[in-house]
Amino acid sequence: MDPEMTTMIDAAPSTTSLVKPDHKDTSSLRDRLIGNADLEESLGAKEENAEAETSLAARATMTSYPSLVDTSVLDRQCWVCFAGEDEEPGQRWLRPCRCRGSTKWVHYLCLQQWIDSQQKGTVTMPVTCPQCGALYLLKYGSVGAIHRILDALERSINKGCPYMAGICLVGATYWTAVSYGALTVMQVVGHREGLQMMERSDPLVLLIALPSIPACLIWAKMARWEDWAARNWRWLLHSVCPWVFEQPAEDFLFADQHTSPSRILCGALIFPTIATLIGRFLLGRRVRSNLNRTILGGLVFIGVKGILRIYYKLKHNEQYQKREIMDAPETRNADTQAPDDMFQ
Amino acid sequence: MATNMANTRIQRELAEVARASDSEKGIVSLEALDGRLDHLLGVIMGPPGSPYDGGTFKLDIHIPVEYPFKPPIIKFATKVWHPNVSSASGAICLDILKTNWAAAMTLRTVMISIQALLGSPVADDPQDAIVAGQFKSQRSLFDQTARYWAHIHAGAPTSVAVMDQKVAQMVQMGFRESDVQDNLSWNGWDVEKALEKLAPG
Repeated sequence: MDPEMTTMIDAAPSTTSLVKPDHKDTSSLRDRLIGNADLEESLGAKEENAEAETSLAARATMTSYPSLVDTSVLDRQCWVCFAGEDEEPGQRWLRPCRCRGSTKWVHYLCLQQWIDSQQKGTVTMPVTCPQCGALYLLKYGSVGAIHRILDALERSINKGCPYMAGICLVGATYWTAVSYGALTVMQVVGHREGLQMMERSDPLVLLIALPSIPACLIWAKMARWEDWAARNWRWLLHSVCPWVFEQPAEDFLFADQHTSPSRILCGALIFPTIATLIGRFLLGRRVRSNLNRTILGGLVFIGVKGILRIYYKLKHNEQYQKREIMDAPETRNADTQAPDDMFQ
Repeated sequence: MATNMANTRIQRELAEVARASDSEKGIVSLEALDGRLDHLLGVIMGPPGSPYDGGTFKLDIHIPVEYPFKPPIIKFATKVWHPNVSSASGAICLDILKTNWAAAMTLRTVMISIQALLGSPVADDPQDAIVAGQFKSQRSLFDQTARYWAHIHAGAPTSVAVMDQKVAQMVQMGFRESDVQDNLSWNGWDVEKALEKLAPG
């Protein structure tokens, strides 16, 4: 290889990128050009070779339209930084898409930044030319099979994590419900008896039955029987003892109140504890069985609480029905007197 | 690196606008404010044949550090009555200022696009719901309001007599002229409704 020729080609990289599409490997391009510039006989020898054919075609373009190529090189301008041919010397020029005219050329480094800004870190994302829509040909260096496997792994992990987190959340809720169920069983029937009972039962039944304890408590709490009773108390009394209470004449307006979800949750989950405490307090010695004591305690609690709640609701409703909207107190005198006071 | 590129590019764009033939006709112009290259003042003329004809509209242009990889932040500094421009803030709804921005666009081409937007509003992609609603249902009232705003804010020659009268009538009641103009426009020139908004209760 002629050393003089190599330096000459090195000094004019822009011409090489002009003749050849830039996504091709530059080193092979240079080799080809050197081969091309060497002598015609070498070309003739390699005529069957596809590579030699392309370089021949490139040479033909150069020779047949020299003026066209020259002018487009002279007034080329980068569509990213807007620098012209001689404003940023030493920059590598690219012609990466189907655009024509002034937006055809771009600096290699500028286009790299534009692609970076479009990809936002996803290196393998395809990017198109914002003007002509052509897909930029991005060649990625070979990084090996291990990297490809790791890349696929990375992507699948990123995709799977939200699902995993969801499953974890559901699982955590389930196991919390199971623990709560087990604690409640031990609280209601007694510590030792509860343990024995659970040990004797089928684990599969336990896994379904235990978490359904808090679920049932919440579901039962959502049935607001006191509200219904408060609303229909006259009908209720009439239907229980029709000889004492007359049939109510009319329905009356009722101020409805919304119960918050957090209140339903807390009320439902604390109910077994309250039932146990009340049972122990009221019937400590008289009832031997823990279960019976707790059930009685629970019934007392529900009954007393229900009566209090119905009373509260009725009073609340009475207050609501007695509400009156008043006129504002007469203020005309105050208005007219105020300025006088200021001047006095 | 990025700051440098933004600055050099803006300098080149300023030169381009100065060179371009439109600036001689006064269609678009661009100048740096206080010698800073990240805050510019653009000026466009209302497109002929539109209600904005004859008006001079100022644009407040901020250049982000990542420019030209991110679009310039542009809003109207002059108040405009247009479906794709907020009548309160001047914010513009235009795709090339958001997702469809490309580095090959220039402040000059963007300003020409904004001028084209003035001439042909896109009511299906509104920035100001009140204006867009009026544009769709009461086209002639929209045209009149747009012309009136172009007259009072952008110095367009022709005003709208009926609107002048209504504003004068309410200014006599002791309200500020700009408040009256805004509230009458936002309430379809219904004096009663505008009064309710200006003096509630």
